[in-house]
Amino acid sequence: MADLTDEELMLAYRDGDAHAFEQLYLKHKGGLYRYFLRKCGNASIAEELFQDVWMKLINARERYEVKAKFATWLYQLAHNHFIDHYRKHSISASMNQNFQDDELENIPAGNNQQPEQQAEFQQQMETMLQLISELPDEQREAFLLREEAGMSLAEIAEVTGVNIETAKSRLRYAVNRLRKGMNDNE
Amino acid sequence: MTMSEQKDNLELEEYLKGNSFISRRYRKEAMAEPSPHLDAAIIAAAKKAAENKKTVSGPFTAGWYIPLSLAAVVVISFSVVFKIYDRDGQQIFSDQAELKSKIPAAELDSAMGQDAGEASGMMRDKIRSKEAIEAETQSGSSSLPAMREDYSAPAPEQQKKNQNIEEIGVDIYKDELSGSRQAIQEPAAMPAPTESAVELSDEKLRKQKSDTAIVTGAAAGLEPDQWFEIINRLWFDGDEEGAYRSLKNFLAVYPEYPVEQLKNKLPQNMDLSAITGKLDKTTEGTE
Repeated sequence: MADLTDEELMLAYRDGDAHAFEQLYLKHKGGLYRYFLRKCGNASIAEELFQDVWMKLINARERYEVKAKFATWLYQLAHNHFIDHYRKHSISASMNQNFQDDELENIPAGNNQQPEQQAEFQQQMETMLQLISELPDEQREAFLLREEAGMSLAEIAEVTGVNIETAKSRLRYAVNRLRKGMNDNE
Repeated sequence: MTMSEQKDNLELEEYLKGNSFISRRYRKEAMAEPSPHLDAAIIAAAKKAAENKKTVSGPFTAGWYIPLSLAAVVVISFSVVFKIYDRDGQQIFSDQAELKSKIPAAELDSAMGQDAGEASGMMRDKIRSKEAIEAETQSGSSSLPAMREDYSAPAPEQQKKNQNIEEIGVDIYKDELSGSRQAIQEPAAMPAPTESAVELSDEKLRKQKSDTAIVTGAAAGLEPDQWFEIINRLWFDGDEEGAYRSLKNFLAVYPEYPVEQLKNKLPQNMDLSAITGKLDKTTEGTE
């Protein structure tokens, strides 16, 4: 079972193997959760969206066919659900002001670090997350898909429904902004 | 492409290799995870769904049961529709058989001998003769000459065919007429007629029947032999008055018909001298 690809695991789950789902979930839960968390900046909303997407996947299992990579399909569900959610609630999909508070609650404490180092670590983390939150929505999404799902430019383009050049441009701008921001803060 | 853009592209390529400063920094930092109770809830839901699939799995959960159901519905629908049509068809045939049994064989044969056009013509003639009979019944025999003028005699071949048609039409109409007359004369609420009233009614009916035959024969332009057949039939049926009236009408149509031949064609005991003065004269002259 450990050697199976994501697509094979999903097919196994479609055929009734609950363990296959568990493996898929453990593999993708962190990336998907952070994708939502950093897109909306609110832990409770991120959890709600995260749960909704997995439930959609569970309900759609019988119709699953291997047409693309499993991760591409999963994040496509996530991307569409995120848009639907904000459209339904008539609010901007931009990060809200509670971003830092919610995100910082989830930052693990560096147990092996000295208090000064911990403070520096937390400072760098805060800066990084702040820079990500300041990115335009499209650039932030391209960056998160690359970092959290390990997607190629083509896959990012497929999930977000744009051509490869557009996806490449968005990612390039995002990386430049983050680099400049980090350099300025160091 | 400007120098700045070239630099950006190089940085992007470096980033895409996965070991860039940004990536390392990002991965090193926040590793937020969903809460354990959320994990448990999602995995439990997935297991439940998988178990449901296992429990409901069987021959009828496969993808083919929907097409099979549709096919079954179509087959049953066709069978029902076919059955309904089949039953209606039998009903029609049985109605036809019932009708056939009611019509005398001779009439049916003559009617069946006609083609479709003749059949429709037959119906028209029936209606026409029916109208003529009604007119004659209401206004008496005085309207006969006028009718004869209006009537255009058909060709000899057609006349033969019409003869059969007329006979059928007359018989049918006679039945209808007697039925309707009875219905008029004997309403359900009326008391039972007396014996003399019944006899009177029968007498009237017989007279009407003979009138019908005579008038129809005249209107149809019958050949002499056909006239004699009618006269003989009326005579042997006991309707002497009708026979004499037919003979009178025959002589109106064929005034020059030889008397000797007439005597041979008609019943022996029929008193020909009582018919017309012309006949008397002719008879006297021959004697």
